[in-house]
Amino acid sequence: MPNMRRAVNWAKRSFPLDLDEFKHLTAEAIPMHLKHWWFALGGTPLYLFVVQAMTGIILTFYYSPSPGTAYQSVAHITNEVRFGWYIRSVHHWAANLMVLAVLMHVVRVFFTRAYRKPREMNWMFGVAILLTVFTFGFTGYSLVYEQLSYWAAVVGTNIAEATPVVGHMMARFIRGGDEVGANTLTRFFVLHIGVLPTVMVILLGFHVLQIRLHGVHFDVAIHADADLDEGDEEEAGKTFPFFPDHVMTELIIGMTLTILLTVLALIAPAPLGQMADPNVTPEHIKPEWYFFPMFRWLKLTSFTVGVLGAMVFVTIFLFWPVVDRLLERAFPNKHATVWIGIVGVLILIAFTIWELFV
Amino acid sequence: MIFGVLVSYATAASYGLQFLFPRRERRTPQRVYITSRTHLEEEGAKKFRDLRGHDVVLVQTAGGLRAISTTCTHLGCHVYWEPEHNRFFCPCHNAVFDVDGNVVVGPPPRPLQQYAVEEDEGSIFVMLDA
Repeated sequence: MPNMRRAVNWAKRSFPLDLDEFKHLTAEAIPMHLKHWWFALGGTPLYLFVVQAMTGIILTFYYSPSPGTAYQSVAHITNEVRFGWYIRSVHHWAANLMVLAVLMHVVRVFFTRAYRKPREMNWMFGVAILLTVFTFGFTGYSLVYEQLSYWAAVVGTNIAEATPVVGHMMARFIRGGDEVGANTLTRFFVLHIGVLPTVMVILLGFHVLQIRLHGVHFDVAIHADADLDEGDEEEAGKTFPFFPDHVMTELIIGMTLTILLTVLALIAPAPLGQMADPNVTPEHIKPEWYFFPMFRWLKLTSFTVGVLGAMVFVTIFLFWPVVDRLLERAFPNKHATVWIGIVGVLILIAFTIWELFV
Repeated sequence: MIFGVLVSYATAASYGLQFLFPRRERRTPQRVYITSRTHLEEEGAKKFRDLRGHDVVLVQTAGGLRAISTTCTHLGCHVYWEPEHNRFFCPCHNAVFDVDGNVVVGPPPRPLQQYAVEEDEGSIFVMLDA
C-alpha cells in the first residue's frame, strides 16, 4: 500500500492538475429535448468513427496497398485471417452506417434550423465533416481493388478532372499520374489511414468545441407549448446532467450499434467481387449507395453541367445559413427553407431509388 | 522580417507540393505493327493493346481504317465494340459511339480518341503514344 500511495503521489507531482477545475467540463446542463433519439444523432457517427479507427488499424496489419497485392491481401483477410471476415464486415457496415448517421444528423440540424446565428460556422464544420466522410468512403472502397471499386476510382477521379481550371491538376494529384494505378492506390491508402483521420479529428474537435461554446441548440418552435426561450430551460429545471445521464445514453446507443454491426456482419458479410481489370468495365457498374444521386445526375446532364451543378449544390449547402437569412428576408414567414429542404431530400431519395432499380 | 520568414516557409512548402505532383510523362508516338490487311478482312475488326495496356480497336469504316481507343471520354470507363450493331457501347452511362468513334447517344463530351493508322504493302501500323 505505501508503494501504491507513493506511485499516486508521483503521478500527482508529474501532472499537477486540480481535477476539480475540470469538473465543469462534464457538468454541462443538457436540455431535456436531447432525450429524443433524433437529437442523439451527433454522437452516433462519433461512436462509429471510433469503431472505424479501431477496425481500420487492425485491418492495416494485413492490407498491402499495391495493385498486385491489394486484392489478394483483402481476400486473405476475408478468408484466412482469424475473425478477418468479421473485422472487415464491421468496418464495411460501420462505414455505411456512419454515412447514414451523418446524413440524418444533417437533416435534423437543417429542419430544426440549428445552423442559425450564432452557429453558422458550426454548420460549415458539419458540412466539411460530411464531405470528409464521403471521401473516407470513396478512398476506402477503392482500396479493395475489386472490379467495382477500381472503376469507382476511375469514374471518381475523372469527375474531379472535370472541375474547371484546377481539375486536371487535382486529378493528377489524386491519381499520382494520368490514370488510376499503383500511385493512386498508395495515395488513397495514405489519405484513408493518415490524412483523412487527422482532418476528421481536427474538424470534430472544432465541431464539439463550438457546441460547448454556444451550448446545445434549443429550438423555440419545438418548445412553443412550454413558452420558453433559449436559455430559459435551465432555469425552468428542464435539463439533465451531461455526466452521467447523457454519457450513459450515448454508451447504450454505442452498445446497440455494436450489436447491430455484429448482426449485419453475420447476416451480410462484406462482399468481395472479381479482381480489378483495367480492360473490362463491369456491365452494371454502380458506386456505393451514397453516391447514387450524383451518378444518376451525371446520366441526366452533360458532363460539364453535371459537375458544375454538383459544385454549385455543395457551395449553396455549405453557405446555407447565409442563404437561409436571405430567403427569410425575401419571403418572411413563408418557411422557404423547410419547403426547399423537403424538395431537396425528396429529389435525393428519388435519384437514389432510381439508380438502385434501373 | 515577417515577409522574409513567410517567403522562406512558402518556398519550403512549394518543394513539398512539387514532390506530390508526379512528372509529366513524355509521349513520343511509336509506329507499331498490328496486323495484315488479309487478317483484318477475315476478322472484321482487330482488338489490340496500346503501350499502356489499354484496349484499342482497329476497324474498317467508310472513311478508311480507324484505330479507336476504348476509353470512354465521359468518365474513363471501358467501351465495348459491338460488331453486330457496328458501334461502341459504354456500360457506365449507356453511351453509344458510332464506328468512327463519334458520340451518338449519352453524355460523353467528345468522340473516342483515335490513333493514326498507316498501311504499308498490306501491313497495318498504328502510331501509339509511348
